Amino acid sequence: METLLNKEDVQTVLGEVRRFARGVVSSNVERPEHSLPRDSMDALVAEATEAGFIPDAGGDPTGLWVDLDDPLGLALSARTIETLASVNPGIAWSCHVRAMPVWLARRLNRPEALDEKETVVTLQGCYGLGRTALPRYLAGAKLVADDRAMLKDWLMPAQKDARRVVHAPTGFDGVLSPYFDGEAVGWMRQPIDALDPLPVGPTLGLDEVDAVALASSEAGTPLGLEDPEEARNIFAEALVIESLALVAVGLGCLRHGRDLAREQAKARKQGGRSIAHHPAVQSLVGSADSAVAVVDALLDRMADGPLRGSRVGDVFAIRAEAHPLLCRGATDALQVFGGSGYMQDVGMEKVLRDSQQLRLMGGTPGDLARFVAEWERVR
Amino acid sequence: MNPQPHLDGYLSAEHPLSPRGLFADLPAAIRPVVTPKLATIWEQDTATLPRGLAQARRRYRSFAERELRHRSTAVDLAPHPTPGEVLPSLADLLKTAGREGMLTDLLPRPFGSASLGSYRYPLVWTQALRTEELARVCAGQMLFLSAHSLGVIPIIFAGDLSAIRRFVLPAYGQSIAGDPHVFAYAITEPSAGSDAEEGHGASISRPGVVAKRVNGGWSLRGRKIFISGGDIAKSITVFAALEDEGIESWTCFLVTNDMPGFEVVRNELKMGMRASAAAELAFHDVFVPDDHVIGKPRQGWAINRATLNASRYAVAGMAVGLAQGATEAAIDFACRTRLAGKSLMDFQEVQLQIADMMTETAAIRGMLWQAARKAYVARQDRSSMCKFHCTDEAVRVVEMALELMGNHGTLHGSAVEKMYRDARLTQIFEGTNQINRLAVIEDQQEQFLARIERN
Repeated sequence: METLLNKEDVQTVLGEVRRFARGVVSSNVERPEHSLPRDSMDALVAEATEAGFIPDAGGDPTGLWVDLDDPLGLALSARTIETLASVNPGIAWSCHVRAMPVWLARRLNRPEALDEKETVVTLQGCYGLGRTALPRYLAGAKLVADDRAMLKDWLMPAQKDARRVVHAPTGFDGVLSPYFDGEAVGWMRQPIDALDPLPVGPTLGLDEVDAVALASSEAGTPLGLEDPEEARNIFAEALVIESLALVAVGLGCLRHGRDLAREQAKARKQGGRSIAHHPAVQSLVGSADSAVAVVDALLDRMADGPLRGSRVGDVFAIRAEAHPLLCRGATDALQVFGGSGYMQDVGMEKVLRDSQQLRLMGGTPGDLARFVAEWERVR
Repeated sequence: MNPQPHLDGYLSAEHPLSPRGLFADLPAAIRPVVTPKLATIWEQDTATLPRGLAQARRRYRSFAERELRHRSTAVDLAPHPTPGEVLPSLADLLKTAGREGMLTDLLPRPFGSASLGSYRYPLVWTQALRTEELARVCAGQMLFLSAHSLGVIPIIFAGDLSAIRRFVLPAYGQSIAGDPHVFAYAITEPSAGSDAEEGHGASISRPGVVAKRVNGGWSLRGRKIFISGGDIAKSITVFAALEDEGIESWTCFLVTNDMPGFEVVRNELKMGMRASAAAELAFHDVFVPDDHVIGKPRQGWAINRATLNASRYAVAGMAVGLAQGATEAAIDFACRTRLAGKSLMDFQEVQLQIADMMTETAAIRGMLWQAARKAYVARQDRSSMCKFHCTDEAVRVVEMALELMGNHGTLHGSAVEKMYRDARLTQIFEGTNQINRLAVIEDQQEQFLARIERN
């Protein structure tokens, strides 16, 4: 396979992303206590698209989640998201949300999947990760009746008030959703109106992004996949990409929080000297430092090599440990601030809320760990 | 619809192997010993309390369900009030709480609203029961109603009967009459957070609020920050150092909000517990007459430490309440959510998480009650142990509830999302949990020193 990217290319692109993040994005989010207005978010995403960091639906796309057969493609995308997240996690997540449908439409070879003006991809069903049924399906194990019932209900729940939760900027018109036809997961393009979108108000974190609860509906246009093996691969690949995005956003977020904590430890005095000299504070800052270092290494491993659905178990296993670490680092970083860490204008409480939010999206650490156990057992 | 006979993986009560039925067949003399009555954990715990405290616990729960539950979401989402502004809903709550004796329960009737019988038990125990039940429903409103007691305790601990008669009793009378008179407690300064809560740091810190001797009293200058309820308080116990002296000169002054030079500068934008404002207070040469000194000059540090020793039990109570509330919310979610034809409660992984949450909550409640039961003297080591351990574990329980609910837990409507933001404060205020760990060592240091000498 021809290698399109080399390490210098990656560094060059990341340098541009860094300049964009620090030069353009940061000026929009200087006040952490103020949520970014929707029109500012739209303008930033448009600018990121213009700069080539987010792929456009038409033409020859560049940016996030493009060139994923390249051994450095995943790493470039993940580090792009991390860099943006170190300035604002919500904007980084929004960029991922915009890029994901482009990747999926290209992967499905169905450009018409993007007919809607703005489309988002939902991967998670109504609750958890489909228990043991999902790993069994993705590993190619023989499905039993309970697995089929679980996958069907997980992706398209029968309970009247069951809803899938989507975290994306509001205003999207269509959703690319997986569904289970009894044998394989297929994809469907659903108009938003068919899903009775219910705005659910503020969420724990990612203030810049809205949450919408979507009802279950069979209305939509199936995008059809004739090869069940390919269908399985595409779903697994999508889950790998989403996991990378979540960990990358979390890492960028904590990197920012860790830097804030370091600055605070240096500047703040207690007992007549800088608190950086107090072992209690050193332990807290060190906890954030080590969480950043460990998750940084884990992200390297997650993004190592070309995109393969078969890596979903490994990626989930890493994610299951990465998010609790990031949350521990964030809460310890906040504690360095004492009372001021609890105040919105300092920015630290947002780091913690965002970290917790990311831990709970796309399957919790517990869901991921149970997935991995079954995946390793059956594959 | 009839409830299902048993959860997946369990036996029904009618099954031949179910202990429920088998115990009923044991000899009559043994049956009462092995057959507990069906009861929730809350009912079991309440039954272990002395009668007066059990009644108080039921009363607090009833008040919280009636008065706090329906306000909880709205007051959390409301914009932060500017100084001098109170949400109408919270103003009503304050009046109701005053009339029902919830602002006056530090003193017995007829001076306050506590029953004489409740004084058979340590006051900190009653207060911990109160903060638990209120925080279980809404920690923000709990703080809105309870920070007031923190402002009164220094006056009581100063042992100054004249001050109690002149300041507390009239205020209590107003509150019971439906005209709430709220107190606040002001120790934290911009340059002294932990220094105000820990002796070694205090010994070398520079006081930020200073009292200068003037004719007939004192002139206070400086700022206090993060003062819970400072925006609505009519009376504030303010701790200030005397001019040209260190924090060892701290003196407690009763400042009223109508004194010239007193200003509520702003309310902070907080992560959680948003029903209660954290105010920044400025003292622009506020004249405080001599008869507004609580206790004697230079007794402030002692009064402050004694107050914290008592109030940290109440913070631990908040934590227990938050853990309990989160556990109940998770159970409710698990029982009403279905997946593939089953309730989530049928899934073992969900049962395991709920068992952990129930047990952690019971464990911290047990720790707190065990310590508070004999806390006629509020010991620093015990109160700090309860404060940091209960709050750390409560946050862990709330995180478990979030985990159980997954991305549904992140939604404001889940209630647990708010509980997480609320619970995080308990690890910070009344001394960070790091400071509270050091407080345990400080209180036990003679034991350690004796050992070091022997070795």
